[in-house]
Amino acid sequence: MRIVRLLWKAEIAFVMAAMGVMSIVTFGAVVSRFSFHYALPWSEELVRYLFAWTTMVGSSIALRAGAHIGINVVTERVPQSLKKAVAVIGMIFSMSFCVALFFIGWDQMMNQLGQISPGMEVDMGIVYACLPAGAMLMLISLVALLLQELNLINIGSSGIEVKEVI
Amino acid sequence: MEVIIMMFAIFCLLAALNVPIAFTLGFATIIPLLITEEFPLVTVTMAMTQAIDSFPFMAIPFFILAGTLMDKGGISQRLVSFADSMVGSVYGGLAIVTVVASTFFGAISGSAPATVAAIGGIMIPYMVKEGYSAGFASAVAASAGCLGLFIPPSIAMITYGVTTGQSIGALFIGGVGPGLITAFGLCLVSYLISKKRGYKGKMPFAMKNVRATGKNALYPLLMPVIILGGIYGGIFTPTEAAAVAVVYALIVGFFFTRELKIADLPGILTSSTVTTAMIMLIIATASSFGRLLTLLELPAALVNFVVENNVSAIVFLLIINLAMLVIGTFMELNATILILAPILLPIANTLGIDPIHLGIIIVVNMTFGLLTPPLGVNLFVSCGIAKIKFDELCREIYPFLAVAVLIVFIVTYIPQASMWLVKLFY
Repeated sequence: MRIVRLLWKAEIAFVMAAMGVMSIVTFGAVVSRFSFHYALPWSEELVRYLFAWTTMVGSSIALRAGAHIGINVVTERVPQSLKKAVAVIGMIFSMSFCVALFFIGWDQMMNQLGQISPGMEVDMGIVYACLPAGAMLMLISLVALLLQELNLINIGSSGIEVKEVI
Repeated sequence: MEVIIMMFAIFCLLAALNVPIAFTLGFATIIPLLITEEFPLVTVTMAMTQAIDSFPFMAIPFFILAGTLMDKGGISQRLVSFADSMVGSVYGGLAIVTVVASTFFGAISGSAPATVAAIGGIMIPYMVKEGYSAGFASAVAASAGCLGLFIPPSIAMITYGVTTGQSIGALFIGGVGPGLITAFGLCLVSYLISKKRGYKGKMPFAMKNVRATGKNALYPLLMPVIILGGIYGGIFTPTEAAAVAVVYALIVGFFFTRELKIADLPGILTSSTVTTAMIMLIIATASSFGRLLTLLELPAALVNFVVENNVSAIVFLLIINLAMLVIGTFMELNATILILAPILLPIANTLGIDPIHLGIIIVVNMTFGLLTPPLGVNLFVSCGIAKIKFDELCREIYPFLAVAVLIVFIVTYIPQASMWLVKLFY
């Protein structure tokens, strides 16, 4: 459990840093082009790849923050005794999606491995790794949430400093 | 056809179980692919990767971040005071202030629920304290929040523009007309209801106050000028404009309003990322869902149907209006735009409907879906702020919904309402 909490801290640290870097680099690219008439060749690529990773890692945080939108019209009207069962079934579906995404994303990553990006000259495998990695992180969060639903553990707000969700 | 039905059936089943929309859409793409084996499974992840590895879409996180920074920097309060000094004196003054302040905030934020939270967060408690019913107060804030998606920047317009390859700049400009019409309509309804119930304005009008509060609101209100000016002046792309907005929001928050603290930044960055990730994951899986629909030739089949049956543009638009009002009640906005826009655009092209106008119609139509129970995101946010029961708000939302439907028809059947400004610039 301690490793998982550490992982969650790392997730948050990563997205904060990535969001900061993306804003600064994009702004810097505008300044560079506008005032020095020099277009940075790597800026757009770096920002795009960070964005892909941020989306996937952030999705795992969003799960724990309960930020992913769902439709609760039906589940709200389920009798109290069945609510837990319905929630668990829903989570199992979510988990199976993550498992599928992991394997399909893994295949895609393997196909791209060895290709070099034009601007930054990084291996495209690293870029495409965001899907299987994100799927795995989401799966870990979902397992934790499932165990919490079953009253086996209490993750509380660990790994999320902000509760505010818009 | 069976596959398409299967996709929608799986989607409805999982959505009913309260599985997050993003997962639901992904599941509804993977399972049919597994069963039919007609297309490779990688179709799913390819569409997903293309969606999240996209520079134009990056405008979304930046505008979300800029909006959050502005809000934390004390901008919302300044916009409210400015609006209060202008319109606070009439019947239902505070309700109208809410609408006007949301219009201003819409020019900073690209999101409807964020606008409800920023302006409603201040105005709902204020209105309740001054004797407005909590249901009415939250209904006003929820409907005024829609302006966040009409007045540029707008996340929904970015989604449409990127998906269909249309100019985001033109879409932004096209949203101004509908935004102002909506603001006027909401003010009118608020005024009429307030007059009937005797919600009086309290602050007497004085030019001095307008000038004083206007000075405070000047820097935030310059932001849309910088964004739009930069885009139309060809200085930067919409994504770069959004990054400039982030830096501008930082400068305003740190040096002009001085309410932003370094210690706030980690929280702001995290909450913006969580919001972004939620939206982008939906966009990613909705892309793969939409990709499969295209591979299954649904758009072509629909175009053929329209051509063979001589469906006129008016009938087509009417169908869009009604379908979207229904879909908007339970479906997430960006996902719907992503899935439906590529299907509707070829039909609109054969019928001679302008793609920008179609985008405005779809966005306006779907945005009002945020106001309709059961899945009205704006309503949830508003209820949360007012701490009232959902039903209490729903009773008060109907007059505003009536205005919304009227505006949908105006925007749809009077193209000039949105297009004359676009024609002016492009």
